[in-house]
Amino acid sequence: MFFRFFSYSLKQLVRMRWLVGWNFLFPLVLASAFYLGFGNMIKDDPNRLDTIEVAYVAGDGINSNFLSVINELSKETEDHNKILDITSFDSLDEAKDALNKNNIDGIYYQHDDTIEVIVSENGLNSTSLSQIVKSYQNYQASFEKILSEKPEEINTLMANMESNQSFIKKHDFNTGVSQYMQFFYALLAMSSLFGSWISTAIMTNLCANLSESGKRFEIAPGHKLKAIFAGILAGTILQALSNAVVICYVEYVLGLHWGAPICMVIAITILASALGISVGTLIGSIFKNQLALSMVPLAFTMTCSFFSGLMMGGIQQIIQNFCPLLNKINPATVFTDSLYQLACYGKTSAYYEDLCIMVLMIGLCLAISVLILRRRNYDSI
Amino acid sequence: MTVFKATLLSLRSFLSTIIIYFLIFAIFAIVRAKVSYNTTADLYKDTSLDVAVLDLDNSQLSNALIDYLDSSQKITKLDSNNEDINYQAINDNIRFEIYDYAIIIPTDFSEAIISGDYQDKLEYLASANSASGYLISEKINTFLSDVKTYLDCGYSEEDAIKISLEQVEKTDIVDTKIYSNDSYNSVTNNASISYSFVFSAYSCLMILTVCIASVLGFLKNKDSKDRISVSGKSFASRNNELILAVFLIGLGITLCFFIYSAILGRKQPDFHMLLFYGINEFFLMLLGLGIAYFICSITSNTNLINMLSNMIVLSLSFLCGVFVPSEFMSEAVVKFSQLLPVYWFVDCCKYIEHHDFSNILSSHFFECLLIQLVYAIIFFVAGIIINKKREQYAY
Repeated sequence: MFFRFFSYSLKQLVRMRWLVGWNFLFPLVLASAFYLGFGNMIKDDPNRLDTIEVAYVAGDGINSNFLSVINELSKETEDHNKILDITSFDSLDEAKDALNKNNIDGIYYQHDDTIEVIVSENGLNSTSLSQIVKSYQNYQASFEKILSEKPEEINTLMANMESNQSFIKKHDFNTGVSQYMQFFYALLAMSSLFGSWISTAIMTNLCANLSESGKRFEIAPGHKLKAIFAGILAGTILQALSNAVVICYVEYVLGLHWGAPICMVIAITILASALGISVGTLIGSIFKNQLALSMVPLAFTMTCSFFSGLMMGGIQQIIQNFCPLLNKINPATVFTDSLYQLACYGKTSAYYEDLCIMVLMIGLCLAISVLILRRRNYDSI
Repeated sequence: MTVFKATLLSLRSFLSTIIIYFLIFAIFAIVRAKVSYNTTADLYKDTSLDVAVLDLDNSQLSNALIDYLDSSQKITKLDSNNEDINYQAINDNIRFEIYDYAIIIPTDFSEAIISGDYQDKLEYLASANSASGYLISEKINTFLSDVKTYLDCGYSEEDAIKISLEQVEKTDIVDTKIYSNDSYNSVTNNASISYSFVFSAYSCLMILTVCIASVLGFLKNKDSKDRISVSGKSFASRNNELILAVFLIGLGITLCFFIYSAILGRKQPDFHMLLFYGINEFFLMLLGLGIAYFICSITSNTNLINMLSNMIVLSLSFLCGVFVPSEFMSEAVVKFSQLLPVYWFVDCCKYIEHHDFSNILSSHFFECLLIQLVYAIIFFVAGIIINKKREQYAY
């Protein structure tokens, strides 16, 4: 009997074209839009330290000390390629022309014992160019001060300057996953929560006051709870399938790596699909109006997705800092966080906590739904 | 005015949708307005980054280092009472750009510098190989190498710190100028009202398309259609009332976004450009009505209307620079997005942001409005053609 209910539910769902469109087509279209919109930011981080193209113009003779400093910075280092790429220009006008054409990021113009920095806009590159001059001026000031006050320490000073000392090291998690992948995690969360449409459609087909098939179902001698669970299983399978398609599309067609083994990502999304379906079942058991059954899941999904970072990356972290409880009760954030934890830090306690919360949410939604749906009657006396 | 009233009343069913999308806009606009800044200006200004500091040493040297960074960066001191450092939480804040850089000063930092065991004593967290990582590390290394040099040359700890602080303050002055012949750089804007208007493109279009298309779909419902057609009203009068109602709904929704954006940006330097943002928003409304009419010509099923609206509006928003600025997109994508109407709405907002009141009425401004209008007309015409064809095939 259970299998019969299950196969009928699956057939009913597959025949709803708009539902298939929502769950299969919409995430694919959105993933493509994401990829076109900021796919290049995932492959090529905009915050990355690129080599700064800079022109050096000696207005009144070359300052060999400064030139040697910037030449040192144009050599390749262990961490990254090189900080500066220097081009010498004979005149300032030529350099300005290159700046206007965006061939260079800035100009070092040395004249009257000063080094002027000319840039085209404010930003990190411009500040970095300025910082190099500040560091140079600072070393020069140290040199002059010690030479005038403690000339006997000149050897110590020279040894310090040549030691290339570093006081700071990076604490690296070596994640290798772009922060912009968070948008795709949120997309999967949204896609999973769209599963709530599937279950509201299932509920419509099972409620006598909402559809003809509901009337036929209610008078049939079949076990109601079995039918509901068969419908939930069919919906979960359909939703999980659509999520798997999106995951494979992003990984293999768009060429973006999820940061975790693909089978693991699919396994977590199966759980998220079940969560979406359970939420939909709860909505379907609470609301009895046809319009509400289509509007409430949409509003719920979009609100949860927004707070999980679908439209604004980082909003979940702002919430985490000010009201972490909100992140723990938002199913979309719990799901995106589980993927994020897995991709960035591996199977941490936070990852398992997220999975447990999802399982709890599924259980809670289904338990409440069962309580509401049992012994439902349609009299209005 | 029966049709007019019926159209307005049918909007009540979509009140929850309107509230949800408006709330999304309201929250986003507030957050975005707080984090937005502009790189284009005619005066050079050092980029100030958000730096988090966890000072476990709390010594004279560590405080001097924090004071030095505080003079040019936005410093957030993290709670140092807990001995266990939660690297993961700090890293999360770096990844989600709450901070650009985080520095951890260990308990024995000051002693280590004095004793000479200073190599890699401090730890920092920043995005992988980021420019902000390089910049702040360079600043820290410069300051600490000064202190170390003075200590090695026989100065006391107190003197070394004092001299180093004075020195970095003096040498921090570099003659830096901005040179550009780009006309967009003519106005200095550190904050702008345009951010909330740009984001309104998403929420406003979503509400307009979902609500108007659903209302029109509801009126196409056989029962409603029959009841309207048997009334004594002429065809022209019915249509005029419908157009008036739809236009009024559109205007009302757009006005809500306009007023909210105006309230939010009342202290911004370009608040006086509100009129032009309003004009741009009005053309966005026409575009929204056009898309809504196009969608409802395809289907009157509420679920399908929702699906199509989400597909069209979310995709347009991501491709046209509503969520992610077009500066971050590849050249090919930007060229493609120029074929889309929302791009011109966003471009018009940027144009208004970067121009004076007297220079705004240029050909580019009108071009942006005209393109939006043309797209609105295209959607309307496409909707009319689809409706005609559907009616033909219905018989």
